[in-house]
Amino acid sequence: MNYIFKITLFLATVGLLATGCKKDNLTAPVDRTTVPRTIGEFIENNYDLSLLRAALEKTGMLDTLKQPGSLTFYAPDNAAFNAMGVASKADVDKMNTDSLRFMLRFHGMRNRYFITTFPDQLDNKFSSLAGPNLYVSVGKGSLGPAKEDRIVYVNGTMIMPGSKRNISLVNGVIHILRRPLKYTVGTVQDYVAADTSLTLFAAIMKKFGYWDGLKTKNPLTVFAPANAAFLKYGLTADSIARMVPDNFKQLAFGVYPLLMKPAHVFSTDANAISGETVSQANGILVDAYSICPNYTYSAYNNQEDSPIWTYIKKGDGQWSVNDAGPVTVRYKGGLINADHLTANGIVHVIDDLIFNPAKMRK
Amino acid sequence: MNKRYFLFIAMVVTMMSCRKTEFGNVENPAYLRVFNCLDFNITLDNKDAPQPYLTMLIDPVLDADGIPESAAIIGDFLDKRGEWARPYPDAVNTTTWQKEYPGTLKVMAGPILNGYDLSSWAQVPSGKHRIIFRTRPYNTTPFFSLEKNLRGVSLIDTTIDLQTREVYTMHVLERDYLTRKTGLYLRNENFVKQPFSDSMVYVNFYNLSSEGFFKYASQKIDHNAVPNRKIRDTMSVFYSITRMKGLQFEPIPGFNGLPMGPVIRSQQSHVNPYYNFPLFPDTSASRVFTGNIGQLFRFYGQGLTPETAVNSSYLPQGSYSALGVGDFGYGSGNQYVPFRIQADLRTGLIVSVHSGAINPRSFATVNTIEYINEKMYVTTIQRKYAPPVY
Repeated sequence: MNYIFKITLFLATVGLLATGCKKDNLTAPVDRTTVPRTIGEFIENNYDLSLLRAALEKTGMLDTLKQPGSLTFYAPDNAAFNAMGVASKADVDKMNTDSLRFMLRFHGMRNRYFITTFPDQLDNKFSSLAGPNLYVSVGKGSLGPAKEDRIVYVNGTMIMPGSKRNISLVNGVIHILRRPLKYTVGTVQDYVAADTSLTLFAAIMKKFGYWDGLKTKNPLTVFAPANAAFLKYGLTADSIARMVPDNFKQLAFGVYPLLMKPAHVFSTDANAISGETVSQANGILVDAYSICPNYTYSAYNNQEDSPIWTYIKKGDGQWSVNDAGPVTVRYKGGLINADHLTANGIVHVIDDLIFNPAKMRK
Repeated sequence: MNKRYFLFIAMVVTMMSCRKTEFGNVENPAYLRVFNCLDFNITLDNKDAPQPYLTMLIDPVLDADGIPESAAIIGDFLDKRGEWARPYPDAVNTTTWQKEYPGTLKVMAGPILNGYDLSSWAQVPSGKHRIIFRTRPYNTTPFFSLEKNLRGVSLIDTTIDLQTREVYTMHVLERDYLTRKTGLYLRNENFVKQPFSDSMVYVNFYNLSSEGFFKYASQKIDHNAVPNRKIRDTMSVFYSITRMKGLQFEPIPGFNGLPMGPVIRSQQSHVNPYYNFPLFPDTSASRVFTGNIGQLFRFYGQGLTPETAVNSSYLPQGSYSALGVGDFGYGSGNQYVPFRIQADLRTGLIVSVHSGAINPRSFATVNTIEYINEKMYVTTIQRKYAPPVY
């Protein structure tokens, strides 16, 4: 009896000792910081991209971006959406789903492109997922010593520096954009006709015989003054209707579509070409005048500046500032109103007239 | 026993150690050297135009859309040409982008022909060839690895006829200054057939500027630009041989402003006559130059000479220009010597290298000076010389 008890006690002790220790689940939790994620998961988990996430969710594209594949996606962050006037998820929800989906598809392209894989040139054309081309320009300037620090623009919008570019993910690469890309289906004429702040510009184009060209010419670059700019010089729909085109020099209003000459100029091109402000002779030449859309970015305070200078070449070959209008004009409301890409050209909405019509009478 | 093993191993090693090299061979070769002479300044106005970064394709195969898929001979990464075309490829240069074809590409180079070192020429099969020059993006991806939509546009698509064992220099040139039309220029060089003395330095001149260059090139005088870089269609060349004295160059007595001949703008592919100057004009320097010698070529408009046009500042535009070859300093030039090309480090158009027991030893060369749209280019061809003895 005693023997049996001892055996039992021994077995019980051994059994308790063997089973008594706590058995932790040794599977480590998923490390969200090192496990490669997809583009969709990255956007989902990034507070700076919450508006982009809302837009992707609304259009059903977030799941698409979680699928295997090889993409380059240009992601506008919340600051970029805010600059466009989209401040919250509620604003995103108000947008038209189809056009929003088109716009988001316009921000992606096939294959992985890191900053260093873009050719060292202007306007490298790539088809976007939506169809129309994206123009990727590698600028002369650089934000640092390495090749990854080169300034790169997509359709006139800067790719953010530092850790906001070359984000390598399972199914592609993300570059964070300074501003959302803009594309309007249709021609320059359709764009101008649809924008209610450009009604006076449309009236001028019709009056001076440029209206049809806005539809047929390709490529075009148009600086379109907003209605307020015309009103500033006393031009209303009524007074435009009464204008006699023959009384004005061709450049008075011909300057806005650059006399319809083939041009394809984004707001950042001048900076991409020279790395600094563009010299007069390298600007867009229209008769004796040179239009120089400058662009500078300060990495120090993360600000952009974009005055459009106008110069005139005098008889002695020397350049001087615009003699018939303001020295500089600006994009209306900042760069958010520049680089509206359409099927046949680029529209920049500006806040002032380049030439004072009164000074451009014959 | 051990000895037998050793012998066996020695036998195996001996049998395996011979190197079996397959030597490349080009049947009936012609010798070809190619320069991309297109040069343009990107502005907002012309940024959509094709840029002059080229790929040369000889006998290409095109797909249904006209995009090249392969080619018999590829001269990829053809950059704008350098101001001095060296007499031999720069062996330590490993850059991808080439300033000429073949440059430092691993191709069958030309032989020593009649004593001239043609190692800067590539051997290509003679006969008729289709040749295409296509623009390409400025990156380091080989042309046929590029996506098809990035394979540029054809600037030139033509046929050339190369004769056996002839030496050719080919340029991609701008034909018309206003339309920016490009064209191919093929020159059958004849220096290998001429009885040139090895104690004379030979040089000939071309003005390969585009049609209408002087008339339409900007007439404005830019205060930042070096003046006197634009020349008229007909100019006369006068040469001076200079040496360094103190910090100044002074002409060697008897070699100041001597006439050479005319330079007339033409893109016809004929060889212009060679002029010469002595290899050792300076009798005071043991007849061996160890440095600090240069050649100055001055270009004067018709009717002007170094005697009549003393102050070049007051001449009409296009009437004066000059090219200093040698150590004329590092500046971008001034109104008196607007073009400066160093060429050989010590002696300009004369090649000075370690040869035999002498270091340096000076050798005469055959040179070509080409003026193309406000740019000056020098090509130096050297003779074979004895290797150095250390």
